[in-house]
Amino acid sequence: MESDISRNTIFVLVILTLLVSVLGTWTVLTHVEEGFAAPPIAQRTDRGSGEVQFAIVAPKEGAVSEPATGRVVFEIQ
Amino acid sequence: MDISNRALAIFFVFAIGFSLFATLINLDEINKITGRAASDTGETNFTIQSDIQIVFTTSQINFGTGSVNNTDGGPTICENCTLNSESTRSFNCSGFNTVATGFVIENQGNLDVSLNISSNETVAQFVGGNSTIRAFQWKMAQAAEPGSCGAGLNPTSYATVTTTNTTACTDFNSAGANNVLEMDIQIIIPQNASTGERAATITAWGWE
Repeated sequence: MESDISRNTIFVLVILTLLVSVLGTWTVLTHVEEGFAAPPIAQRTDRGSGEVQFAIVAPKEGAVSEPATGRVVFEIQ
Repeated sequence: MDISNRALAIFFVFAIGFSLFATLINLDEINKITGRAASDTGETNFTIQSDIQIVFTTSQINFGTGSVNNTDGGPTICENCTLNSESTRSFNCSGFNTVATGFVIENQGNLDVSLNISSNETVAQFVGGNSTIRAFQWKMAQAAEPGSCGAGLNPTSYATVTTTNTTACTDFNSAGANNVLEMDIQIIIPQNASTGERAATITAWGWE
């Protein structure tokens, strides 16, 4: 019968399993923090863009305003 | 039943492989999350409707009540009282107000326009009396905001008012700091003008 694996090998595998697990968790957490952190201001200003459109509508030819009035008054006795 | 070390070793190797695989999957999914909108472009559309609006911001000139004196002893027919909105009140005027401010006309629209003016009363109707002496006159100025009239300011000295349209400015600006014109009024009342209240309406309007 083939001989079994030594206890030392099992211990090394346990340590290796824990190490891989911890490193994996740490790597994921690091990426999560980077992903959700606000981007630097320079990046945000570089990407921003806006567009404003407007039009001034000209009146029909010969358009006239409403009349405005002023009064001159006096009285001769 | 005891588990052999070989079985434990296989289990741990499988655990290590699974942990590495899970880590890679997590990293791949995280990279798909940006947390940002796909587009950060905004768009605003609006329309400004052009508007022609002429307004008298000072809309009444009241010379008050008075009479014409014969103070120099000359012929009564020649006596007269001169009043204007530039504080003139001649010595033959008895009573009446000294008026220091004429009409103020403002272009409150957003277009430069031609300004037309007219009166509803002729000098004969408004003042009356001796036709060689009586007067009802207007004069345009841009003292408060020079440059308000880009061209064609008229008249710039006292001229008889008209009941037909007179072009007072061919380029009345709408810009905020240069959109005000003044109109001064002068009347000369002969001694023989009939008594009573007088009122005349000056109309102004702009056209493009």
